[in-house]
Amino acid sequence: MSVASNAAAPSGSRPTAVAVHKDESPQHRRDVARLGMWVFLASELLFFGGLLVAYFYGRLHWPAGFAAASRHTDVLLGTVNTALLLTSSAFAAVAVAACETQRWRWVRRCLMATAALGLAFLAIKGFEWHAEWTEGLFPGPGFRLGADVAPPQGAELFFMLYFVMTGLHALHMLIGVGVVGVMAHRALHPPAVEGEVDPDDADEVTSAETGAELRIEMTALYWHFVDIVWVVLYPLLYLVERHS
Amino acid sequence: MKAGMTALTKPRRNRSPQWRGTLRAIAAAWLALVALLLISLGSAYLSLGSGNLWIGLGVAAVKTAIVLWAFMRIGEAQAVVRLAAAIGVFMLAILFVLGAIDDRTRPADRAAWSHPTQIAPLVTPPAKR
Repeated sequence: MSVASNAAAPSGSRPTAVAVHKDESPQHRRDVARLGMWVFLASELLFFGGLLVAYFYGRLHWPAGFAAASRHTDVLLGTVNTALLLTSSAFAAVAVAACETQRWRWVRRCLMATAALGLAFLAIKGFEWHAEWTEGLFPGPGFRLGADVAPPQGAELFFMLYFVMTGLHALHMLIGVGVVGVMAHRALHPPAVEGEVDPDDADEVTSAETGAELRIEMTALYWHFVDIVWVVLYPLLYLVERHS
Repeated sequence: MKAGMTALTKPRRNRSPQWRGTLRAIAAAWLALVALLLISLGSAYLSLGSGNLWIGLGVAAVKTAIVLWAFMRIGEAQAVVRLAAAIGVFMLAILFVLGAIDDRTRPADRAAWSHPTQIAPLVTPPAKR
């Protein structure tokens, strides 16, 4: 039954969300959702891409300034945060695999672990920003690199890019933590299948399952993308000329 | 299925070999990612010139590939999905190439970058009493 035929249904029969999806094959819904999500992620890639181009322009033109500035970032906290994100991505991947095999206890626990690690990442990042702010590393009239009141050219530009890149990434993380938390909550309190559904009708239940699986799979794809962004940012922001 | 049971409470089996295999694959990918993180960190403390940048980017590229294949399962995705992802990367490459062309073909006598500095005020404010 299509949406149009639902609209033309007799007044006595109540159209339901499940009924709308009944004749759409679960595979078709999966394909459309995955394609939509990947197109969104491709657009997000270009969103961060502009900042990456600006970064490489600055690094090529003022390598000494970028190196000096990068050495003032906290490499230990950056590394810990990278490990946290990689681990959270692994939990998200397990959640998707568990969802496909209907292991809902695994889904709940893995999604909660993903959200908790994401929150830990944000807490560490917040601590890092606070330390950098008090150290005078925030771009502006009071900018300085440690005791160096006349920092090399490009150092301030590095920290401008640093705060913009990590800030935008943290915003994506915040959204991700929220969505993962909602997914974990939904898995904790399973919603009843909406509408007038015959519980013995396997097709209807499959449709609802597919919806839950899809939402979790799409959320995990977004989370992995945010992880990839950080994987690229980590060497560019924390590991420039560390040996000097 | 008994009446009233929802989609999320259906009883399922546990501990199938396939499930354990999936967990092992994800754990192996995670271990590889952590190992690559440590390689990236360690290499940054070696004096390798421009090699430091290339190793950092190379390790990041390998880690990205692992996340794409092991976690996002792009290898199992439909061709049109892979195409959408490839177009994103292609457009990013165009952005980099055009940026590089612009940078390399600018006149060589362009003005040097300088810190913004505060110039002296044109009118001296009256002294406070």
